[in-house]
Amino acid sequence: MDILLYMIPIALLLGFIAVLAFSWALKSGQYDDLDGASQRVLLDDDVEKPE
Amino acid sequence: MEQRDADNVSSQRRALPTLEGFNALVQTDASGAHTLKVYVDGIHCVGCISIVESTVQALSESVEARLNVTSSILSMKWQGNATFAQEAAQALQKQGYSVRPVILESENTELKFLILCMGVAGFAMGNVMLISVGLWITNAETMGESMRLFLHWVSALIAVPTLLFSGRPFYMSALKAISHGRTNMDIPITVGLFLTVTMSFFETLTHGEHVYFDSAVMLMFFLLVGRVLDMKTKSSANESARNLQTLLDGFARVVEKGKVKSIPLTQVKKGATLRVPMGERFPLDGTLLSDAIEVDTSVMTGESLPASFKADEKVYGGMLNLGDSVEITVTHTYDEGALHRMAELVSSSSTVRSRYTRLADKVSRAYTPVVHFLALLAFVFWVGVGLPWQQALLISITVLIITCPCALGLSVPVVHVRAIGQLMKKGIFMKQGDALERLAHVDTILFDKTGTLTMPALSAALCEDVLSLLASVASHSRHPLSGAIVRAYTGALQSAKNISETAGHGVEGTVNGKVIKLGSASFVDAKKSTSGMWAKIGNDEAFPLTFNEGLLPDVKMQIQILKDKGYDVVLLTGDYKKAAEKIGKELGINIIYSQQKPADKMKVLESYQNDNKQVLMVGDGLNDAAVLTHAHASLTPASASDLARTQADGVYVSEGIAAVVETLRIARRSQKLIRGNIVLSVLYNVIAVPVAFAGFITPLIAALSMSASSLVVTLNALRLK
Repeated sequence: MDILLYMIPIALLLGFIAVLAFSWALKSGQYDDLDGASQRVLLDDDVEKPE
Repeated sequence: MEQRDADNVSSQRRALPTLEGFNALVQTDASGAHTLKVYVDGIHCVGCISIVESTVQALSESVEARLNVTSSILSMKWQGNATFAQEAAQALQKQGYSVRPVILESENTELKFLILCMGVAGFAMGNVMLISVGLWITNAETMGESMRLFLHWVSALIAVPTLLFSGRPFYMSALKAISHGRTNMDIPITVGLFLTVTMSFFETLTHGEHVYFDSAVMLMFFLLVGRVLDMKTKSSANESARNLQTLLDGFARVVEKGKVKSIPLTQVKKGATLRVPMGERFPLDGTLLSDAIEVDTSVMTGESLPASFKADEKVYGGMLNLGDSVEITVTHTYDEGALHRMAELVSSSSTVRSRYTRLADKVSRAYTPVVHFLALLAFVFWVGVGLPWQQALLISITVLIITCPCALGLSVPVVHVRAIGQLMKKGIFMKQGDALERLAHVDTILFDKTGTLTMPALSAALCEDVLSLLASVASHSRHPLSGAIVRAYTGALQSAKNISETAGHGVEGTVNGKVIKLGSASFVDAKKSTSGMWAKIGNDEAFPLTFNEGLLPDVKMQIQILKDKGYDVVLLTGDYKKAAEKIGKELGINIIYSQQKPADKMKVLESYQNDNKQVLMVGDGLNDAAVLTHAHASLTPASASDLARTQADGVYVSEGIAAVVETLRIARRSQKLIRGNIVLSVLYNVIAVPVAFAGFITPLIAALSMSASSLVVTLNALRLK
């Protein structure tokens, strides 16, 4: 069971990193346009046309 | 695509806003990069995203353009010339999108804050539950006293900071309520959260058996989900405030040393002279330099009939100049102006909850003292019976948590969010959640005829010259018959002077020195007085113009559906009796009010309201605006006048009235679901409270069952299709 002494802090650290990533995503505006993001996936501008 | 074409027509008919002013709004940073944000009206589909972005990008290599579909704001960033702003605006205008400057970008910081709190609570819940599962499936004998203590401490380490961080929306609201001497449902939540955590912390310190950090975090997470949904409905209500702002085009024509310059509204100073052409709104508050014959004051007063103003009288920003071009001296800057204040008022009053939400609030308000009393009673009772105080406190906390009305709090917003989302997918845009509630109560529907049920087409064969003259004047009017004349003429329009339009009567103007009058028989001094539009060119004899009235697609079938559903369908039109009756007969509408001026329309509405009827008005014209405002609920097509669009509860983009039928169906269905939700959540409390009081439920089960009840309510809302 000693493994838990390592695993739990690691799990907490990972969770904390996830929270940081989330708050970064929120601040950088990734939640500003939820409708647009769901529609943009249908656009295929990034596909290079064959020459 | 069809819709974009329709918008195209209407934006061409509209006097195009002056575009040179955009250059003044460009912001330049130290590195020489220019940025500009503009509203783009008319974004409907995926295609629009690529059209808008590629239109701008095609103009220059260096430009970055990104369209936010949710807010319809296009952000542009480029190097080089600042005047690119105007080019971009013109290019978009050509594509059929109207472009307006962003006066007030509503950054929803409150929503972001709630999402952050919710996210953090969500992560914490995941981690704390991970540990709790271990704690609950086994006991100290298996894992050892010290391991249990370790896990308790880890739970505390996660829960306490989360509680302090994510619980702030509740604490702040509870504190605010208490400082105002009120109670709300955030008070028992706050008390419950703190009691649970304090007690769990005490248990941890004293090496107790059970801690309830998980219950507290889970409770908070689910409550925050409800808050976020609620806030989303509200931010769509703020949309109407934004509409009010964009009533103004964002620029004013400033007269300076004999030249007219267009300057962003926010930069116009007091004492400046502004020119306001016919058909445009007064951009700011000011005093008139000359008489204004006709001004639509409905934005300010709700009065639908135009009023006349004398020189030196005061006019307010947002009023519509229907008469000749006039000039004003600005008395208030944008920030002090009446329209700006009104927009602020709308955005604050739009947070007033709908009746059902208020009901939910009322219930939880009456509930708060009861809940606290019950919890206290449980504690006193169980201590009295001889239970240790920790256990008695536990039961009392369970009562507190289980009665927390969070399913009740969720029951209305989840349905509203779902309904508004479903309607939006069908091209119907509601401004407020509570409009759904009002729509559900409707029993009488007033339809405006022209533009709503029918579309006119000029049927008279006129020679090209005459048509050219008429169309040149008609293009200055928003009246649907004028639109039909303009549509009938394919050549280039001539310039018309001295245009003046009288709502409900007609429009006149001078082309090539000839006075052209278009309007009712009395307006053009015709000898006979028959239905329809008359025209008079110079001093020639007035002659009538004939139009056929084409029904919009499927209107007949939809009217029948509405009648079958038990709605009273009424035709309310400014048109003549004969024309109205013909259409009424064709559609099977028996109750017809014809020749109704705006004030008469109001009287018809009032008579229905006096009979305790709940009226839905569907109309598109300037003359419907008052009825749209005062009716129980109102809808308007997207092709309607700006005023109608700002006054109506909802705007639909499709042709015909299928959208009206659909909106009513969804509104009724959503109210049924809301009632169902309220019953479900009350039922849950009625069952759960006695059980919790008896001490049969641990706080964990209380938290689980509460989440389950929230989930049931949410799933119930998702049944709305």
